[in-house]
Amino acid sequence: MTIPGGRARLGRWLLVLGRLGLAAVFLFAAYGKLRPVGTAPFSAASFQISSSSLAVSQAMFAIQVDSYQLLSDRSVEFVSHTLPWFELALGLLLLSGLWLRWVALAGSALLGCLLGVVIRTYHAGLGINCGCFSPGTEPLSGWTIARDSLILAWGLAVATGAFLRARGRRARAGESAPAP
Amino acid sequence: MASVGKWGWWIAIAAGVVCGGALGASAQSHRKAPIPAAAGKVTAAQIEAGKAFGVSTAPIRIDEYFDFECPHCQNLYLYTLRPLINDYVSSGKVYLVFHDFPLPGHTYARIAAEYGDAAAAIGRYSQVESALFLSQGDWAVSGKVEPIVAKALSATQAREVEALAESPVVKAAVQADVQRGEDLHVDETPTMFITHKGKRTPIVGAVSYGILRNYLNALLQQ
Repeated sequence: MTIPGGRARLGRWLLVLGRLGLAAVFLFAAYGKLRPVGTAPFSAASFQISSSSLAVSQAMFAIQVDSYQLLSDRSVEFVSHTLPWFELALGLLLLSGLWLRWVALAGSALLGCLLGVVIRTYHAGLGINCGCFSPGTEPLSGWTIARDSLILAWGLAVATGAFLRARGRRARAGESAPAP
Repeated sequence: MASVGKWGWWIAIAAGVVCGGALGASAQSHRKAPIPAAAGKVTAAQIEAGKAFGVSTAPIRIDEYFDFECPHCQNLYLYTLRPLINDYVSSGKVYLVFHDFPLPGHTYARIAAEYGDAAAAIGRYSQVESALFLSQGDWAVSGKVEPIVAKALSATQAREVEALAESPVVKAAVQADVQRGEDLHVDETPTMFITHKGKRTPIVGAVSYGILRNYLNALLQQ
């Protein structure tokens, strides 16, 4: 009787750790795209975000998205203006633990799409920067694909854990409910 | 008289050989290097200045490392940098500097870069750059760079550029650009470095003009 309880506790802790780790990934990705261009990560200047610095950062990220040569100018503008905020929202929601199943699923779907684009571009031989965490500093390579695959696996593990926990809760609620 | 006549024949033959040799050498030197004096006068600074467009005090500086044989560089030049020169460089907002970075896998890229730098030395870089990019599909296969360059220039300029392309100062200028790029960790073309208020940002790959324009406008409004 103690073993299943211990495993459940371990599962809960792993889920919390996984959720917080995934939140950190999304928050770091959003910060990398929104921080003022040319500032060092985690420097004081990198947190001095103003409307003009934000306009430059988003225009810089648009260049990064455009270098993948997949989207029209209008779509590039849309992605560059929405993706960093979407990543920020996912990060904050994962941090809070709200709607965990759906947030982890949405995060995994996003990671899957981005990984697909990265693999396609790498195989096309375009020697561009990834732009995954900050613009203009990381060349697209096999390492990028390995790292992004690992993050996707992590996201899927968190989503699966969240769904299993919700199913377990429903089952326990069903057992403890009084018979009609 | 008989002996004088005999010597006269020998002198005439010797003179003929000397004059013929001199004329032949002169003709050959005209084919290979019509204006050797001009090649001697060209400096690295002159070549560098010939590949820079706009005013050096412009608020934004763009340094582009490119390879004449690379298709993405062709796209960037034709569809992004040419309109950029009209809209931003001419109005003094951007200072654009071209740097050669011929990739080892591209057989004729270095030769094209040498012709480009030779044209820069005589102030005809944009004509030759444009011609080389527009005919990239031809010379990149055949290796015949010189006829493309010649078509973009007058006969005198073409001879001058041909001679300069072989000169050590031009070859050294191309190598200096490559070295500069390597120092900046350039390993793909095209790579642009956009400098504004002392901050330098690298951009790797081709970018559409509309997207680059938005970035430049955002920088100018900062």
